[in-house]
Amino acid sequence: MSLAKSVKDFADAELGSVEIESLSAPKKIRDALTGTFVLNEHEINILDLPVVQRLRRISQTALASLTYPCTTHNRFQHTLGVTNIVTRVTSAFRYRRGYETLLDDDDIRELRIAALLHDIGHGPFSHASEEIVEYMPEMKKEAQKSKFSRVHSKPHEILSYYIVTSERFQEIVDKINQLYKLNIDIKRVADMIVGNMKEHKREGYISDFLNGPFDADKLDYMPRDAYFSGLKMDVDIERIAHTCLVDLRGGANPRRLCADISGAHNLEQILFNKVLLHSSMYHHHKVRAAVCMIKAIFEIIRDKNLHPNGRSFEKAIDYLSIDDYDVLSSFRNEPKLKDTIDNIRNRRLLKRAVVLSRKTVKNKKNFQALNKLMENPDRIAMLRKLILDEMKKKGFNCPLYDLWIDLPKPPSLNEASLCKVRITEKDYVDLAEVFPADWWLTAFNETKWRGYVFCPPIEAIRNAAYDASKKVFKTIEGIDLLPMAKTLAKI
Amino acid sequence: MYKMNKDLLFSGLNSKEKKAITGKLKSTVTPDDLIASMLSFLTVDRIPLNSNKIHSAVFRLKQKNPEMFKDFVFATKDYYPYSALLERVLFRLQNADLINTINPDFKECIIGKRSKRYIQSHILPLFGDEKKGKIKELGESFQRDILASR
Repeated sequence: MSLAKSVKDFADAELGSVEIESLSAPKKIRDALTGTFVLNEHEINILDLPVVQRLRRISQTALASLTYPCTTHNRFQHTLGVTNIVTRVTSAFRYRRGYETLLDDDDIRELRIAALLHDIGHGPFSHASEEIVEYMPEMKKEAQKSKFSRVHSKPHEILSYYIVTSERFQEIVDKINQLYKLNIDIKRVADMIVGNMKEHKREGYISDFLNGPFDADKLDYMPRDAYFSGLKMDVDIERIAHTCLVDLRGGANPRRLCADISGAHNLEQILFNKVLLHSSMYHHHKVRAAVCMIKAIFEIIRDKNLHPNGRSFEKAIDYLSIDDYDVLSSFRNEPKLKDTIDNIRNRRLLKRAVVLSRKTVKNKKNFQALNKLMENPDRIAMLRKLILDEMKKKGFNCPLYDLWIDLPKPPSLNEASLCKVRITEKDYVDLAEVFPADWWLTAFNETKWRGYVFCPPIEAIRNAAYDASKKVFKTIEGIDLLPMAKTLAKI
Repeated sequence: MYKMNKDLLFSGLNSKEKKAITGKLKSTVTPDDLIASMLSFLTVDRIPLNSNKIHSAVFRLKQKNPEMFKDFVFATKDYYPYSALLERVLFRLQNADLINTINPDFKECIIGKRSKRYIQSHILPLFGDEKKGKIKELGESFQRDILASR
């Protein structure tokens, strides 16, 4: 069954019984981060849909709260924040002289709806489950389709797109249009979510507000993740909103959002924050260990042919049918999953046996062998088996699902080269030409990047996992681990 | 205390399984290998460190050789064709010191002779003889393209 068809069935099941009722008043929403804003009646109807309410039960940063205790915010809160920010940025934009006609009421209405719906395709623990879904053959195939490849759609965006374009969703929006005498084009909303406005008027800059180099999504998640984790960093949303322009040059350059030179440093600040958030939080070894444990749950399910909640989790759609609560509660009924889930619930996390970095590998060129493992879960699984086999020979054993090689993806810094900065009405340059932030941060990132071998937090097993990893890495990949690889693991 | 599920303990590998895994691991070719091998055939040591030019040049190679570059998905909505995978591959090649950038200007990317020798002895052999010739052609074509747009 195609992904589009399975999402259609999912939408029928999840939204089949939804009845849209006419509401009489808008609602004032308080968001701790972005402040108070108003949602109109039709937006409340959308917010109340089960596929949006589910986001209350999807954490924004997976299990980062096990390391940064206040990081308990969820995708629902982020969704509201994005809606508030997209409104503020577009309002400031439209207020500029000469820009009054570049956005009309329909554009803003649809952008706000796209903001409310942009994350409904996320699976449990957000990007943690996305690290599984993205390697599924059906998802790889979808990502190659021109409508998604053209804009580099992520798996959750593709799933959001298919939910929003399903027949059942269209029926709901038709009803909303009828009740409130609106003209919401749901196909256009779906295209805004993936950032592909090729088929619509005013391509480019409209979807850039939600899916561009400095979109409302980034302007919300960065300060939100920083605020709730306690990391001190800020994004000057107001300044960005007021320095946001359209690249009005014609010719080969499509019209896109760009920044006035007076706002360039605020965009650089975004890039700096992105790298700092990765090195401090998203790639923190405890956060990554927890991500591996989430992946372990689904690996056990697939390997042992289990069906918690009636699903096999071999298809992307299965991840839309559950949330974080399901994984941490009802999945416990399955005896083979109970221990791993209890370990997560009680913060008994895997620990490092090896730290992989430029400082811990003897010949840096051999790092290339390590590079080959990245983005290749099958290859990593094979190497895990070899390490475990080596450990077993020495009299130490643990489940395959408790030993992980984690090589997180570095953050993309493409905003610097994809975002134009306007110096004068005729002169535009890449943000990277104002300051080579992308390569500067890449260099910074190189020294910050870490990969890990994780194993159960038992001293003897950690030592055995280190010894076995050292041998296997040398034999198979030609990688010589330096003693620092163990020292940094704090065994 | 951390709980290990005794029912899930690793059962070990027999010699046949181990051999199969080792063989697969040693023979797998990745997108990183392709880009590194291609760069090893450059006759110059320095190319402009410009994302636009690098991504555009690889995009044009993909248009002519879709099968070789099938893993590289290019977003074409932006000012230039951009591949997230290519960005990560370049980061990783830098991380492995196979390509270097010059601080603080970041205007050039260096692929030195030692790097080229390393790639040709350790990575290029993963490709069969037939593909080696093709990769050399790709490298030459990439060089012409990226230097022409200087």
